[in-house]
Amino acid sequence: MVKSIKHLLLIIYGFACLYPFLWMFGTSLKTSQDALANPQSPFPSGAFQWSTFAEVWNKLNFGRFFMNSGIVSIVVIVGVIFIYSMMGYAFAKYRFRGKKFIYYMFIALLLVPGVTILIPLYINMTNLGLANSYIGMILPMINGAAPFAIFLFTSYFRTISHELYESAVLDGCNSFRIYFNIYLPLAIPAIGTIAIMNFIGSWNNILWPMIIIDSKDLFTLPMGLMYLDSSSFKKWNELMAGAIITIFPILVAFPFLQKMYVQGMTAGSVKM
Amino acid sequence: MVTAKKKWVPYLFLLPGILLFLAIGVYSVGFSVILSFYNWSGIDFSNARFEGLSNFKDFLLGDSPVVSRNFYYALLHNFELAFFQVIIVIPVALVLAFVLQNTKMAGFYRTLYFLPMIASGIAVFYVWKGLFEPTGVLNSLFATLGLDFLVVPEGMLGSSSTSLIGIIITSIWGGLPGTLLLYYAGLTAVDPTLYEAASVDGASKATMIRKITWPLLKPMTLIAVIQMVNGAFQTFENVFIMTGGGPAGSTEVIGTLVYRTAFIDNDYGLASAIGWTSFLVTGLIAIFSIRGFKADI
Amino acid sequence: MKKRMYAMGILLVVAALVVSACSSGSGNGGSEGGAKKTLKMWTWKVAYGPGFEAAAKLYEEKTGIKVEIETFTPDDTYRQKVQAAANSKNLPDVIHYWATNGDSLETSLLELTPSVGDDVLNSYFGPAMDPIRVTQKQVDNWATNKDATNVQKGLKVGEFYGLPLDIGGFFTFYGNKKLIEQAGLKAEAPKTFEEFVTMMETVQKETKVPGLVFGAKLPDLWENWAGSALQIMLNGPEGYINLLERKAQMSDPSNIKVSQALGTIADKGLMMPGILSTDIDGADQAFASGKAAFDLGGTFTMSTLLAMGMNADDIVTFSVPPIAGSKLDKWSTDPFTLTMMSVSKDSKNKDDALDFIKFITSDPDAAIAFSNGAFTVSALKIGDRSKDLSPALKAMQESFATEPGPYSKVQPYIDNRGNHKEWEEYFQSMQSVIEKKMTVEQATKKFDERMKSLAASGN
Repeated sequence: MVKSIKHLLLIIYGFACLYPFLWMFGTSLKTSQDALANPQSPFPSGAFQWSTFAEVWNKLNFGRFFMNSGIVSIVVIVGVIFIYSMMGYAFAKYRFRGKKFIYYMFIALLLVPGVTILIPLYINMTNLGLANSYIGMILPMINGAAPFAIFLFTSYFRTISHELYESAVLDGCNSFRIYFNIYLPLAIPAIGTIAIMNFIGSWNNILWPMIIIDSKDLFTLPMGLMYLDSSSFKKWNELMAGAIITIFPILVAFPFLQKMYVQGMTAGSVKM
Repeated sequence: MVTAKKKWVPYLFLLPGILLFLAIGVYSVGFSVILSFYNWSGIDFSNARFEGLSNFKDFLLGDSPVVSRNFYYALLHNFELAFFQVIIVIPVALVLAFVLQNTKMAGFYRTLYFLPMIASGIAVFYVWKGLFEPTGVLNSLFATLGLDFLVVPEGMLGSSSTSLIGIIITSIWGGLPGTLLLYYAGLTAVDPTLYEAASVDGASKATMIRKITWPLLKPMTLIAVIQMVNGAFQTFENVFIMTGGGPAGSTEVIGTLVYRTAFIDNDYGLASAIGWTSFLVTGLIAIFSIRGFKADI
Repeated sequence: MKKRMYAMGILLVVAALVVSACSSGSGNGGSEGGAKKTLKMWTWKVAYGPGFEAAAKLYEEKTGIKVEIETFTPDDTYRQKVQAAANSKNLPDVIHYWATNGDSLETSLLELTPSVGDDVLNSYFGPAMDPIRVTQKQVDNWATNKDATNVQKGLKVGEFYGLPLDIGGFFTFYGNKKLIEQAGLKAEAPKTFEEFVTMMETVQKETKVPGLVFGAKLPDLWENWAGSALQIMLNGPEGYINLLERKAQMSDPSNIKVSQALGTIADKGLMMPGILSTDIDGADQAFASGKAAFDLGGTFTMSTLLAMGMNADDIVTFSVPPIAGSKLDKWSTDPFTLTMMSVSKDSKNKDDALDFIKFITSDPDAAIAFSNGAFTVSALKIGDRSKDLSPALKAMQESFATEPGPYSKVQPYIDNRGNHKEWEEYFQSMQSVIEKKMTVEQATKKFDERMKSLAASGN
């Protein structure tokens, strides 16, 4: 009895998690009239209309958007992991002047309201000559990821036994090699967590790319989706096909990484 | 922890991050803080006019009554978002994590539960908009179940009494999985011998949860709370896409208010002042939560 | 070894910065490099795309200069984009924008009085320059308003920063002919607003299709597209000006009727469910798919409805009908400038850009090509060349009044409405009226009280 209630609970919640995706998929297979007439049903009332995907894909050069999103996300992840694992390592392993101040200053950045600094950030990036470029899109995303990445890496490196460090020093390793060859590989779970978080973050980011990017050649997927929304007169089937194209890679790649994500989060938060 | 023999070594590790911050963060943050003391309509800063605290007086003290009203409503909505997310997500996630803990198919469920978290972006906001339509899924579900009192004829986002609930539902949908997975991992990480030892000592189940489980889950709860509160105060994209702050201002949040003030009314000074006030509020809440949990980071 | 590794890491970061700095910078037009001159232009109107392309093609044939058009949507994104670009002198050569002034974009745009003469200005439809040119009234307002920006305070009477591209009007109802006839009514324009309400009631009763839809998600849409016309007809332009200038009360029996007009539609339940989360496109879509019998729009709505697959023969259009007993017994579609073309002050191709905006707004061939492609009426007086317009467009153009009407008198005051924050609150109140959470009496009272307190505290 208790067991079946348990299962019922899990299934209901699972269904709630899944339903929006089901609706998204079903709607993308409807004709546009059907999508308007039967919005409550997750299934097309007639035959499945697969052609919408091809239409949307071709209509807006989604292939290019796909590539752009991929480039941005990957560079952001690599950048975040290298830059902030180094910082986390320093915070976790060394005593030095100004440590607390620097650490808390970076953590406080978490609370900086994104919408407020949009224009100053844009001015700054154009002054650096980075408007309408990949790098212009990427650097602020990396910088924005700093607080949580630093926090997690610092916490994670603190959980790694200090004896390891001492024996490495005895073996004659220098500081950078200890970081790169010993600590970084041990931090795989934290790296996984940070990678997933930032992939999600940069893949879904819309506000910043919208401002910094002018040319359609540099559009990311969410930008394409928003463009589709405002240029296709609210055709739900097209919009949903675009939405699926946008989230497909995350849906395929990431569920299988959830174990890693959880490991990193746990280790990070337990030893705060 | 060690003190490096060469004093500059730790700084070298910090260098890339700091350089990036100097190149990008300092200017934007600094400039936007300074802006909050100016009347500036954007574009050319030589046209800005220093006005001291006038922007803050406008919305905090009611020098400009309508702006002030908008601000306090928005702030209230942010608080509501944060409050309801926390009080719903924490217990539900905890219960689900407990239930999930001893289930055979835990791996499958976890994968399923992970989906909302990773996909919660603009694509999903459009879906929610569709689900909340007057003839959408939610209304027809309630009608089918005979729960007619839950049916909102105008659609959940189309009525000022329910629109904020709609926003909260979407935030919970996207936010619950993270906390759930965190708790789940925490629970499975408890060394089972601890419980055995405790039960040998004659401890009750309640005592075990209080003494063994909770201390372990406490730091996770803190992280979850801070993330949710911060998320709630930074809410922008979902509201912007789903309701635009309406109807009748019922879903206006600081994010949309700042956006509107800056980009529609061209009042960047006021917008910055509002944004940084919200920063301070969020910071205070974070500090209080940390104190409240008696945890030191 | 150690040092080399550090150095490499840092080098990477720096290199990334440098590479990007060199590879970008495509912001300022594309004139450098390449034999062919290119102008860059931004717009937010997807529907105008074909029109712009057609005019640009003519321009290229004439001058050899190519015009590259970039579109950004939705509206809010475009505004944000233009402001951000203006901030860092990154605007394209040519900017398509809403026809206004005083919103501070002026610092980045070319002031056109020295370079555009009467020969060009006189070729436009009479009041086309009104919303673009700085008026004495605006200058006076900005001088006394404490919240006015320095840019506004610096503008001088007579200056203008754009040329009028197209004209049109709001205040148009679109009706679904089939539904109206199915309800046993004749599909023709109602004479009064009351008649219109009865019409909607009958249609809704007979066909079970909701009477009215409009983009009520935007709080000020009803006022902009219908309410102001009702008010102007009711008590004449002066009546509305008095309200805008805080010289009259909204709850006054002579004024309240306009708010009541919307209140009646709400009370009778004639609006499409979910109207408050429906935006302009959504409303047109709902109407086009038969989910509402009437749709509120403007002259520009027709093209959208046709693009959504409606047949022009299935639509009946009429101007907002007057409330019974109004001073003006019918609304004359008194068109005003919808959008304008401007030149970036920092453009490296200022002369060409200026030449292009003159061309597209005042060359008859270009104007006609643009109009037909964009389905909007050009601001240019084209005289008997109107025979070259597509039939639907020609009909629309002929329905426009040729003389400045009541709306042009009120427009400068409407432009100033943003400074009177009681309106912002009123629009939200009217959303509450739509969902019957507030009565018209309460909404208008609140407006009057707020107006009084704002005026007293110098806001």
